[in-house]
Amino acid sequence: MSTPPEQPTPSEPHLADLALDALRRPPGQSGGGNGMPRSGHRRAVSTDFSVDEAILVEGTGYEPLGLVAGAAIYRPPFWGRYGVSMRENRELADLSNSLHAARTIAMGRLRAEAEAHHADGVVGVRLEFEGAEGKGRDYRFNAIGTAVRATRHATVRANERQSDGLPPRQGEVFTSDLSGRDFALLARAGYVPVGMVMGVCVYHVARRQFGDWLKTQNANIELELITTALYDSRELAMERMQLESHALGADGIVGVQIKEETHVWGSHVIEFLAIGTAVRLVADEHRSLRPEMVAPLDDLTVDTDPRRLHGR
Amino acid sequence: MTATESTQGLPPDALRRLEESEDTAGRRGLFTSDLSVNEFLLVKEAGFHPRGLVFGSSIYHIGFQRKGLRKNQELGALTQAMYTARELAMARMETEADVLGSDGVVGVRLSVNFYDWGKHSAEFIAIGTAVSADETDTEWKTSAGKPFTSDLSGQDFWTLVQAGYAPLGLVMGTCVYHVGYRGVGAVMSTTMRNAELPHFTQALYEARELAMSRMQEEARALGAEGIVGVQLVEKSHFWGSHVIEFLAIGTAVRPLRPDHVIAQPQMIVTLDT
Amino acid sequence: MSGPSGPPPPPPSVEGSEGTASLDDLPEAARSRLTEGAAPGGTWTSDLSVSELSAVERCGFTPAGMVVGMTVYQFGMQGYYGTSGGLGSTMGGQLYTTPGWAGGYQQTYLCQHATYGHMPGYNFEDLWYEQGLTEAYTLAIDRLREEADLLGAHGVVGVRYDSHRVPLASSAPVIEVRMVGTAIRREGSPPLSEPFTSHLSGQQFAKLIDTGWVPGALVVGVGAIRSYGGCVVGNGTSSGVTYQYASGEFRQRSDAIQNCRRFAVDRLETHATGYGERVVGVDVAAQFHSSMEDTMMVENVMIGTAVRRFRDIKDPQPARVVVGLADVSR
Repeated sequence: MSTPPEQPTPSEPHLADLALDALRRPPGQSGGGNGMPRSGHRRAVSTDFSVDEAILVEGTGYEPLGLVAGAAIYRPPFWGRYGVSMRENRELADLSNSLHAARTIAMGRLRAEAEAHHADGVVGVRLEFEGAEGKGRDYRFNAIGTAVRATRHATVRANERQSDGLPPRQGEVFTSDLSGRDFALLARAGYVPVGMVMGVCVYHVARRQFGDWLKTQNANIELELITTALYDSRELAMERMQLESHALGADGIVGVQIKEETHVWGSHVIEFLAIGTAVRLVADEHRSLRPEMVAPLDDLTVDTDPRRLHGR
Repeated sequence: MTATESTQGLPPDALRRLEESEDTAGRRGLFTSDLSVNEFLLVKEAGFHPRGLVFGSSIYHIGFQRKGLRKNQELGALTQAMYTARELAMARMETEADVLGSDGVVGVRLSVNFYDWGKHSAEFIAIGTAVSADETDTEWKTSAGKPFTSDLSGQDFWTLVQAGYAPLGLVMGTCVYHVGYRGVGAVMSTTMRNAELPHFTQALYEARELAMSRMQEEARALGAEGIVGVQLVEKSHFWGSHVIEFLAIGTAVRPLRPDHVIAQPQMIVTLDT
Repeated sequence: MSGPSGPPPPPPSVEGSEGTASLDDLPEAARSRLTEGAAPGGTWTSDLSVSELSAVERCGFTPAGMVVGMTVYQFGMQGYYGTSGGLGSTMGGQLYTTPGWAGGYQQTYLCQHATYGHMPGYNFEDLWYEQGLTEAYTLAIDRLREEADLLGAHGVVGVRYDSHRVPLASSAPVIEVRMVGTAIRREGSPPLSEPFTSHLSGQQFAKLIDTGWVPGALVVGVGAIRSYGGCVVGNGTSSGVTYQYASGEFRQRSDAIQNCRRFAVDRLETHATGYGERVVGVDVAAQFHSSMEDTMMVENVMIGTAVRRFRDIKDPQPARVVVGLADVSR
């Protein structure tokens, strides 16, 4: 939703004419009023924001500083996949650590680029696993996002908390996988992101013994060992994520995703990844957004998608 | 919280994780949530704060049941298995929510995963965000003292509370049904004709009704006024085309106040799409 | 900072593209179609949706017609195309003498073996290829602009683009870059010397104008880096341990990808500086990544719309928060 324009009074020229007039002036003299940034003296700033996001982020008093990226190519430990018995349910700690390290390096590079821009943080980070390749099955991780900095109009600031006595975080650039829109909404409610947090657990699921299989092949029963194994590995991933956010002094984590991937190791080795953005309440209390109810007049047809009758 | 009878079935790591997010003196514990930012803020608007991501899992081996080739029949043992496995996952999720001392769970998603390694076994997962009410004057828990559960999104949850309803519990009914093959005579008599197939109609009809009535039974046991957002899901999983699971699932609700008047919504047309 | 120590090199020159993309450059069919459309009483075509059309009309513009810009472009031979892969073992000392490479970013990764006779790894920027890619995209944008000019339009919105390799019988790689958009015009306003171009939808365009911004031009940034591993490809992790068993970050390749992105962003910003203060909606339009045992090639093409502020909107109203009573799917 955009801001409604200041409708020009009849004596004033139409916005479209003002816009075209600006394009007729050489770059550097596009601005009309006072206090406007003069282009030409400053380099253009790139963002991957949509127009909506750009408007909303600027509305909260943050200015974009440029796109920043981080890459890491990482070779997992050669023996990481092995050294586990076929019948064992356990975590492959070397693989967990290497996947965590690779992501951390990519995010570190992204933060370093943001620091070079003197940014407060990076929003809209997309951290992607871009495949494993080569003989060593190297992981390739890529992170990209837009660096932002609070201006003097900022409604909330990343590095201060007014109420409780927690020390402000110094110099750390926050990262967040929330969109510019989500960032603006959180800011209006009094929150700022403090960092993307994640937990990784790579788990080996045992092959079942033939005897076991024979005993249960006709029964309807819970497989307790495997239940515990998978349950445990997810909990470990979530716990690690929570520990990371404790270290950041966060109040909570929003938008947590739990992803499962087998990457290149075959079906018995599963990576559980828990990832989300840790947030912190910096206003004195949660500010209500006072949402209004609207009834969109768009297609409100009853969903009779035939696929739903057959399940997925 | 130590492992007691009530927390049976949860792995030790779960208890440790939940303990770490509990409130300590003077400071609210860390919350985790898979709600989107929109949902998170609307849950806050509704007067709740998220406590933590709660989760339950059960890996269940689903056996085989003998059935008559021609007969339309419910496969009771399979129905029982599918139901029990989901119940186990849900119960563990509820236990996690209980450990956190929360009033309810929103945004519950139930899913069934099949892995390459487990022939005829499936993982049933329930995952959601535990929430607690900011005000303590309304009792949000169910009459059994358990946290409420609901598969409504944050947006729906806010709207529901605005309209004066409270979610009570995620209710479901399932029915695994064997649709019998038709006899040669029946096939012959309908060849080249436009005709209803009463044998099949009756089978599918009955299975759906059974699943729905079981769901309604659950809601009645909870003392609900009604069920919203019912989804009817049909899946054959790995049983082939003649054995189908019918699952009915929805959120049972109860009234919070006698009237259900909401603020007059504004009509809008978005140009966005 | 992980990047190389020196400042990023200047962007590849695109001077060659001006001049060549003159008006005569457009095919006859395009010129007759556009002249027809521009004539009084002519019919406009547009690929705007109804919502987009109403958004564009609301802020005082009318569609002028659909415009196209495209090019089929060949990357010249520099003596190494078609041989990549085998090159890692033969280039050695020639690295710094080949003209295409001179002046660009390059970085050497010393072999960590303690013994002699080993070969270091190199990362270097493929300036020749970068220049080609930049020119291909710039040509397409220029033609889009020329078509809009023929229609008497002030700008182009909703530009969609793609590029793909053309399987032509040529030993050098050939790509096609295509762009399509809708030219719009403001009745009664004198023509601009250069119509603006933008990949923003009609609605986004309208929101920009409402908030005091106007699109300047589509801008492009390109980066291409080749990386040749030395004798120990797992450089920088564990000296003396052979490649296969080493574990840890593969720094040389991380640097290649990192710098490639950085160069693309840098060029994009340089390109945009003549058109506005911000670039919105930057999109990775093409991304290519190939690697073999010891060589890797990365390229990145980024496209965005440079926007210019024309008016300070004092205290814009904050957006309203609404909850739709329509189905919200999770």
